[in-house]
Amino acid sequence: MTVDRSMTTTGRLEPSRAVSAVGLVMWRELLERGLSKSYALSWLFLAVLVGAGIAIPGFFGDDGSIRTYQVATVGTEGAGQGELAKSMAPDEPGSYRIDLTTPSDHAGAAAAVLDGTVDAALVGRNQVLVGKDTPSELESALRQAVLSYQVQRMVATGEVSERAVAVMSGDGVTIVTADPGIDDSAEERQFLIAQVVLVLLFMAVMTTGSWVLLGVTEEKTNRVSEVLLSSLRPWQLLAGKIIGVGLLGLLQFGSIAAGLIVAVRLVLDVTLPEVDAGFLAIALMWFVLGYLVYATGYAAVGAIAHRPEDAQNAAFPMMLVTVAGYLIGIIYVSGNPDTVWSTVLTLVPLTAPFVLPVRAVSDSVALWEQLAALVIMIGFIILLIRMAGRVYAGGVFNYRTRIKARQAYRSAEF
Amino acid sequence: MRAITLHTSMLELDGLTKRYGEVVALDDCGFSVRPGRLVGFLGPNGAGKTSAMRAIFGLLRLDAGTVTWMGRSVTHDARRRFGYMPEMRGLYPRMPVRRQVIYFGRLHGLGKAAAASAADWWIARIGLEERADSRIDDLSHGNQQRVQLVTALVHDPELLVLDEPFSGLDPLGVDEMSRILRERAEQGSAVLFSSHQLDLVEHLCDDVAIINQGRVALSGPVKTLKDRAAHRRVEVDVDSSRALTPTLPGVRLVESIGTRHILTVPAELAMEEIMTALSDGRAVREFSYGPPTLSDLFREAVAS
Repeated sequence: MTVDRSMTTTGRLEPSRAVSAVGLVMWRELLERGLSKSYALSWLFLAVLVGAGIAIPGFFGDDGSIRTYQVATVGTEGAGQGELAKSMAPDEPGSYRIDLTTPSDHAGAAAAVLDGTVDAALVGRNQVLVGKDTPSELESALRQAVLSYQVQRMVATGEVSERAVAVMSGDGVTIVTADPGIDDSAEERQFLIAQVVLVLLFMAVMTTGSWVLLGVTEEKTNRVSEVLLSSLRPWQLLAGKIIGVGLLGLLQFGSIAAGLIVAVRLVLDVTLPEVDAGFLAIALMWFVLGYLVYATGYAAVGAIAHRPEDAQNAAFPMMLVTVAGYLIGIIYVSGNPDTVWSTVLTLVPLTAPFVLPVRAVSDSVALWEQLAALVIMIGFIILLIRMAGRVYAGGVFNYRTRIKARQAYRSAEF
Repeated sequence: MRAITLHTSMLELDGLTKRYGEVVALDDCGFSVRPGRLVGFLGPNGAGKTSAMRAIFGLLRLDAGTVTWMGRSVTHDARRRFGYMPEMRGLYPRMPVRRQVIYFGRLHGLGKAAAASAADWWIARIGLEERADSRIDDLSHGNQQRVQLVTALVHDPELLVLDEPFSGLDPLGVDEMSRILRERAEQGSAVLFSSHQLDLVEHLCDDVAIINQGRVALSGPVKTLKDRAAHRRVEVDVDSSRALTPTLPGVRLVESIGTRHILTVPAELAMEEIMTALSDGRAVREFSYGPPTLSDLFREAVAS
């Protein structure tokens, strides 16, 4: 039997230098995990969760339609107040409008309020007739309308000057900030975005970290690791896995976030705040670095566990570190971005991803700190992935029990 | 030039030593595997076969010793041209056959097209074309074994190392595996495999290495080892059920089944002398004299 096998003159297939081992492992993760049912299900679960988060409040509460209140008016003054209330009603989606009816007299109006035919009634010069089901927003709107009607009358009869009315209704005083450069709302928005980045990073690390963890232990359980390690260096295997799983996580979280933004803008018609591009770049960079450092930690934990059930126990300290990093960022550093401790936490690789976005918002992180944190972080990730690789190589033939990381590290050849 | 290349292109294990606490897995273990040769790696359970094989792939941190390929320390790049089938079989259970074979081919350095065409060729060779898109865990145990072998062969390795490749195979599977290993050796690869099936190894292999307690007790070409053995094997069938008691010096009774007796005799003893001594007044119905079997050599090597 013959076959075209691109043989060289020596009859051997020459290894292609262009083939990148890390890239191959990454592609396998993307393809096999990306096409798996569990990935599709987790995606669907997240999408349903987020979709429900948007849809349910609208369904039970503000669904974007206009509420209509029936108000009865009696007499000329009542009719005038009613027209004023109707003209002052917002009459837009998510709010209310007022429709007027005119019963024959005061008693008819009272009966209509009592039996719920109307929501409230305006009777006489200054009376608002309400029932036990009258919405509070309607009650205060009618109160405002009656007051305004009376003031208009007083202006018309010359009892009060128009200027006095204008002063009393808010024109008389203006609040200005001392520093024209401060845009409070912009900083608040970015602070909010920083918090969102922390929450997203935390969720991403917890979700994809467990994928990496299980992926590594599954390879040990399937006993495929020994075959893999005969042609791959352990760090290449781990790096490919971490990047592949990370891209899948990014794809999942990114698509859900994009869907969320579109849903908020189109469905709820809410304009999202603009965010400084520089800040967004820093936040994204630390999101990626944060994922890498934690995923590497989970990979190392997976390497010392011998089966998936054991992996969750082995990962417990790692989960505690993740939670601690998140809480430090969101509680301590948010409130104290300028302290020495915050500077120290910026330089510690496991807390840096949760600290830097928060500090970057309040401009309390110097450029040197950012650069130093970046250098330390990249160095730490490289070191960690090498160490995790070695632990992996040392722990890979341990098919029976969980072993200590140090023991695995020492027994490895790599 | 060609002669030099042939001479140096071999796998050489030298002085391999590995201890796990008090347990000695490898104790100054050394032997070589040459291209085009099929080498059987034999030894009792726990003798150190798997440890030695793992050491070839750098999967073991040795206390001492070296593994060289073509005269040089085995590098990562060199290992990519090796094929390995470990004792603990392992494949991705949910990954389809063809994708899996291509993946392993690519990990060993094949380009996309070369890996795909080699995968198709090998899948056809083991008769699994119809199952190329099936997941591994949907295959029978025997077919999973076949795919495992193919993942070690897909990149046309210069050295093939297989730990117990025949275990769990039915007779047809054994024949097929034997044919493939023989072909690989004939095509110039160095092939090393461990096994407990001594008859099979004797029939199949050019060379053997017998390891006991981490140390190589005997190694070399099967024929040479048998010819040079200090003993010969004698099988004799006599017409009496009377017990046979060897009287000549150095003659040892290995086994008696009814009137049939198997003995080892010193190689220097003349055949007639043996025959006369054994018959001892009985009529000899059948007598065979020849070199020892591999099983004899194995028992002797392990006992010593």
